Amino acid sequence: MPEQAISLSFEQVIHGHSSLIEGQPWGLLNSEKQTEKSAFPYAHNPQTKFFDLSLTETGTSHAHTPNKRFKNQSTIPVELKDYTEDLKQIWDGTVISFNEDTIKIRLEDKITLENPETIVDLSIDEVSSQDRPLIKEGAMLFWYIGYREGNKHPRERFSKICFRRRLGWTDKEIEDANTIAKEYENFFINNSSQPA
Amino acid sequence: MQRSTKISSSTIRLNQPDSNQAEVSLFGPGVGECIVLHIGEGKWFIIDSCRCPKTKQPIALSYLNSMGVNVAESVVGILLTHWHKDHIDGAFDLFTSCKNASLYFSHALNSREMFHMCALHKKDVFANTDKEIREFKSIIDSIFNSGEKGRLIPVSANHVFFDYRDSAQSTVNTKMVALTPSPVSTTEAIAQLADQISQAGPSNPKLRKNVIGKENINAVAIWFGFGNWSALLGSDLEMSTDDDKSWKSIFKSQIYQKLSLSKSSLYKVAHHGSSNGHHNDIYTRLLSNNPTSIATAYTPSNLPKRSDIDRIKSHCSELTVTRDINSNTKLKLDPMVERELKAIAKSRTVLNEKIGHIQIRITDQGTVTSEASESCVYY
Repeated sequence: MPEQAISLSFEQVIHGHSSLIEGQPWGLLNSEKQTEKSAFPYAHNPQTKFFDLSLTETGTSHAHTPNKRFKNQSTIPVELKDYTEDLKQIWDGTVISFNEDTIKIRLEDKITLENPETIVDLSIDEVSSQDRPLIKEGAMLFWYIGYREGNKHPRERFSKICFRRRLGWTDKEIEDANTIAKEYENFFINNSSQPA
Repeated sequence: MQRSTKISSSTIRLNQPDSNQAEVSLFGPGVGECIVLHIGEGKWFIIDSCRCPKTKQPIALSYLNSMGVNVAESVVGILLTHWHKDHIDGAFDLFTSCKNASLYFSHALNSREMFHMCALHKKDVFANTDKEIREFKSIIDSIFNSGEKGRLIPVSANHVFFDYRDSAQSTVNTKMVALTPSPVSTTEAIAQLADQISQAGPSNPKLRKNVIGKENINAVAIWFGFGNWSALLGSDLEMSTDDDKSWKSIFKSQIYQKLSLSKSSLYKVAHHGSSNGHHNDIYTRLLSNNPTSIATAYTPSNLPKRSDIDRIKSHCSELTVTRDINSNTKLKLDPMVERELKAIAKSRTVLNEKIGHIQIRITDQGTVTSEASESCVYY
């Protein structure tokens, strides 16, 4: 797969729908590993420029809700980059605690899966001003470290922390969950014999 | 300051205990805790679950399988003392493997509010979030689909898991009792669940953490008796200022007197030895003089701290912790990443690199022998 295409997807994920690649196998963003596993959503079509909404958690589940901010997702513009990124490290992180100077994050290694989890303290300056309002106990993020290089870009190291923008539940989802909870309740608490 | 001795080589026995022996095995990898109990006559009971850092298997299964125990037949119960990831990781795998086992958990989790929480996550198919709720939900769904609701047993204070005194089922008097949660703790936990659900909505983003904040107050503390010997297993039970909650509810309810429970000579220290889990009355009212204490570490909070170890040691004859709180391991990282991380991170701590195991066996005559694996530290 051309690295350009991979880089495109990567940028989309970060700036558009960071939740999209949640749950997907990691370590696939360099070409070697890409061939080993094809479960990455873009592996099948390197020319992908827009998100396949069926892969997003919000794309389908919000389709029948009155919440207007989910509409027109398929027209999200894509910024073309003329550099590629060679990712050396990806962590999936969770904010454990924070204060005005420091943020404590628990990291799961998504490149070397056998690595144990790590807790790091980072300066809050490492988080972009755009993402700082998202800092909250339990908030999720990705942290990427690698090299960036392109025709007009000298080779440089980069470290990028991207907070995930996971949307809340819709009213319909909450209502549906309530119906299911009633079934559980009837079965486990009210002694109805068998689930429907 | 207490002097520590690192265990240089593992002395853990991998033969099954005799039928007239009990065993308390405590596992702790730095984040996570699991206790495997042999309650006599080849029967096993598992309290909480965590995974082996390397194999990713529930540590209880790995241990029992390594001894040749038929887990499907011999494990009679699994207790999840409270709903925190470090105590429930791998619980679903345990539950499905131990087909003969009942699953016990705090009464608060057998509530409409908890089921609503589970149902909210029904469509959340992504793998890396909401691990706590999905572990629990997998179990709920499994029971719901199989119809075996008899396997699910809610627990609150005074619950007797088994009582084999003068019973044909055991040659040794064996009994296990839940000391908590109190009714007030249960009600509070349900209220917190309801509060969390009420906050769910389009304006509040989903977070990874879906655990109620004060769940430790709702943890199940256990008294386990085998013959004349007994153990107090403190789970993560923390102190509360309210007399009707947590440790104070045990003192107030006088459950020891009512159920004729003896003072214990083994204490699994509550909440990784933190000062929040400590009360002097635990040592004076629930434990015998100079008890033996065992504890698991909790690396994210650097527990137990030096001051905790000193405090615990002042109340007991010996303390063994499953992991050295000062140890740190190097990760396998690309050298460039290592350099970058060194430049950026103010501090870093590696979790779960090795699992510590403390194994205590008790004969029906009350003889106690204790072994430990290499990662453990003796104070």
